[in-house]
Amino acid sequence: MTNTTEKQAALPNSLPRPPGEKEELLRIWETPSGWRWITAVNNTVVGLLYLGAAFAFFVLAGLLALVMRTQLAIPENDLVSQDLYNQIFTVHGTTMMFLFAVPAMEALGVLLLPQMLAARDLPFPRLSAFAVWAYIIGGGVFFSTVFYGLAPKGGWFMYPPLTLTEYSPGDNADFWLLGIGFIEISAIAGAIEIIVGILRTRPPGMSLDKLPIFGWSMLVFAGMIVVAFPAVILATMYLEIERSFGWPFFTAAQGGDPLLWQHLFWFFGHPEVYIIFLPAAGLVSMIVPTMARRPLIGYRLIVVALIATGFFSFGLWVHHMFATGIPSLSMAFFSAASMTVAVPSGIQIFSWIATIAAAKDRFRLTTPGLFVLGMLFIFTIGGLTGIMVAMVPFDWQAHDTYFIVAHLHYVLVGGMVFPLFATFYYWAPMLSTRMLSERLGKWCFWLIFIGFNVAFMPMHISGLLGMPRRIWTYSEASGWGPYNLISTLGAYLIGAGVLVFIVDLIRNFRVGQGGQLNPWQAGTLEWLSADLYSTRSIPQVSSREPLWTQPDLSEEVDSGQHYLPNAPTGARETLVTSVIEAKPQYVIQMPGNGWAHVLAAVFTAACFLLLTIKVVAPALVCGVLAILCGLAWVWELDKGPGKGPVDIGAGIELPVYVSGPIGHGWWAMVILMVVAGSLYLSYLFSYLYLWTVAPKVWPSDAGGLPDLKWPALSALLFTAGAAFFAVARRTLPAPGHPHLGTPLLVLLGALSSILAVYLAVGCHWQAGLRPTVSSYGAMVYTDGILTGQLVFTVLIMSLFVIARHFTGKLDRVRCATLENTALLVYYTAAQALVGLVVIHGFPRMIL
Amino acid sequence: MMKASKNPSSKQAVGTVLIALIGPLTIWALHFSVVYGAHHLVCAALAGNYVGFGMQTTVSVATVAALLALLLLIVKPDVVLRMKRDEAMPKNSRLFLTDVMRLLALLSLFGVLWAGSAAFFFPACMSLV
Ligand code: HEM
Ligand SMILES: [Cu+2]
Repeated sequence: MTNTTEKQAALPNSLPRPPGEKEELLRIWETPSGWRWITAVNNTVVGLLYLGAAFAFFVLAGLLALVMRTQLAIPENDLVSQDLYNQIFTVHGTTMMFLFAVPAMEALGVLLLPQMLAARDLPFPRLSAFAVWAYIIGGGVFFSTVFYGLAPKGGWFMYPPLTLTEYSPGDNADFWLLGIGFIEISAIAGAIEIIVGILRTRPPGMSLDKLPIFGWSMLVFAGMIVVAFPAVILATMYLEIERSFGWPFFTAAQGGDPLLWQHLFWFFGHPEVYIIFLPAAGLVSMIVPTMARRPLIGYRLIVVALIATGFFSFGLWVHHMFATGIPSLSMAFFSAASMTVAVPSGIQIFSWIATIAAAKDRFRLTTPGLFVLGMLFIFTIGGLTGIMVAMVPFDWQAHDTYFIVAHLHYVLVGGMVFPLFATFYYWAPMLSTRMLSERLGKWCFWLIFIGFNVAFMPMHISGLLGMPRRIWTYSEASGWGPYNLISTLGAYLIGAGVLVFIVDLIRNFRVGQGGQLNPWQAGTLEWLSADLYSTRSIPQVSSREPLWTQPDLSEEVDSGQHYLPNAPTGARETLVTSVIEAKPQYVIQMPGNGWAHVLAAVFTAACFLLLTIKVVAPALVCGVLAILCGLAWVWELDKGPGKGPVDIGAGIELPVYVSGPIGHGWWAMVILMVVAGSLYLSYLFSYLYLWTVAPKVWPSDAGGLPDLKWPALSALLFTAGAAFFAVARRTLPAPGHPHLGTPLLVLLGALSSILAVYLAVGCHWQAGLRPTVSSYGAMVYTDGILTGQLVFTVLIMSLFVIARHFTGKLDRVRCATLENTALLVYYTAAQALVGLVVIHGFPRMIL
Repeated sequence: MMKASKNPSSKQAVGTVLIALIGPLTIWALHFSVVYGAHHLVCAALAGNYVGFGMQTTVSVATVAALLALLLLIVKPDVVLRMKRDEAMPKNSRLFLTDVMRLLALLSLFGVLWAGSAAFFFPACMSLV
């Protein structure tokens, strides 16, 4: 008795709680009903929608796979035409990679992370909701092109010159370029949310060394997206610009090089495989300990493995280009990196096996457990064939054969689809009032597992027998017929397994408030009792498996004895903690449901899609509308310090408004700068790369170059722009005493940046350089585009800041908007200066 | 309102985390960029007779530099991590970050060594095709 009272006294909040707290939380976090449901931003609702959409794309792309397999079942089949087959494999690959695998993982991040961190939501709920809607609309339109013969045909990696207008006339390729470019932007939005969420919205006490492994894997996942996706966004821009306006990035006759695409694409494309695999590995690391009933062996090693894989996987891109004739020493570098990355993957596999072997009693062969074991088997085989193709001589034999198709599916399906099914079965009870059926689950597992091996094992052989990938049909004489028939049967078995899952889902999945409490007896926080508002109070955590070490935790949390058991500002909010130790720092006031982000997504999608079919004027209108909706959405974000410090329990009083490097908005801006920086580095790479392949189109004497006074003036103006903003921050008025100095400085800053871009680009035009003539010209003007985009954003944000000033929402205290704009301005100036040095200095230097 | 200054450890904390979690691998990445970049430049743009020798020297210098930096992280993590001075950081976090950094440095060391040794087995600019 004394023991319990003592314990209670140590908790942040005491009982009894004032009446009505829970009701208020429910009211604040309520999901809108009826058609207004689409305005919801709550992570559970949005996460489920996200996951559902991703799964729908998996099924759709799977149906296309069945069509392909049916076509290939017997030699000389003519079920589908060659042209349609090309569209189908392109849409299958693209959908699986961009519309299923990455979004499914982001969806799980949105859905599971706040629960694992016992946060009420991730810090930018509308950003996730925007990303989801953008993805659903853009993805849906992209996928449907396969029904109208408008789908791209260049394979998921869209190699030029095949995808240049000459060889791919029509809009098909543009649907890939604009559609996927757009999806990537949505993925980046999600990644920013995930990084800031993991680092800042952990519960008090969950220091970095207690973060659930899934959190680590999502941190690496999101970090990789931020660095890798810009490369392919840039490549996509190049190809679209070349297709639409004829700037020769990839046309060899004018100094371009198709291999530039391959470099940029695979600089993204190889990490993409790990972007897909790492979160899945994180999920496995969560399921294995529960099924083994003991903590994961080698937590630190796994963290190390995740981070190391994230890095090493960027050093591998050229292993997709071994057959392009690069010098052997370069190949050796990349071959070495390919071997290096196997080490951390091995560490993870051995940790899982060790944990499984050390299970208390026995490893529980539940459905999630089975899927994990299936994953270990299949992924390991995929890893082994991966090591084989990382050897240059073997790669030359197997390149572009079905051996590769087998390898990539062993890795992707083993590494991602199996963990995903384990996830469905494991976490369903968190959301559903009824568990999925263990009986149907086992059927589902065995059908998929056997079907998968039947389908893909023979492809190793047909590949070694010389069957090339992406062929539409083959002759009887090749001898590939029997292998293909077996493969096709296997594919149908997989289909049957997925069907069993869908039936199970329909029969047993009931979304309801609060599923069963911890049916697997897991140790992590997502198994606390939760409702729309997530957990009733935010727990103080003292170990990696709090539910195992703090047996009363669930009850304490649910009765409101931990932090923030109420809604002190009367609106949605969550706790922000420090990066390493997770000490409470402030309370974020979060936006609620709304239309602005949904409309922003709709108009952004419309803008991109209209551009694809070259309906320019309406596209621009949609673009403007998208920006306006975006502005309406962010207008509400900076709520200001309306309330004073609030009490969250344990005598801790926290502010509800902060600015500067401690604020979550500042963090998001910094990550955005990393995105921009990565894009620009890819650009610098392209510039130097094209110079090395075609030095002849670079100006060979100072004659064609503009006079140096222009770039000097431009540099001066960029610096001045940044300086204006720096001063503007100092002149911010005290609350309630606006003066014209600040808006004037902001305006001046924006205007001088605009003038600076104009000078930097205009002087080349004056000097007679045209982007369509050579890759040199194309590169010079691309720099203008990249900096111009930033300056355009700066202009919009500056006008926004000025509007805030005139409505009394900008002062010395409430200054996040100006602060974030200033950050972007500094970044822009820095990038522009680097650009000026390269563009004007480099050609002079190589004389 | 709370300014960052009220949390003096905050910026330092972020720096510490960054160094611990991405420092070692950044050295690997730099080494990789330098050896690959130099190789590409030398062979694509400046192909000449002395390249073989130049390449080996470049790779060796870069490799030795990277290895030394990584060794430093392994042997004396405190030199780079200023955690000792941050009294507020409890022991568990300190140990965790140091351990992770050392292990990452070890893996990077392995990566650098592996890529760096390639220069001694292959001709500088010859292509096998
Ligand atoms: C589970 C059942 C699946 C089946 C039966 C299947 C079947 C196929 C087939 C027949 C091809 C075409 C090979 C060719 O014609 O060259 C293919 C290509 C491909 N698949 Fe799958 N697939 C499945 C799942 C997946 C998954 C889960 C992913 C990724 C997450 C994926 C990614 C790809 C990619 C990237 C390509 C290459 C497309 C290209 O060449 O451009 N597949 N698949
Ligand atoms: Cu790869």
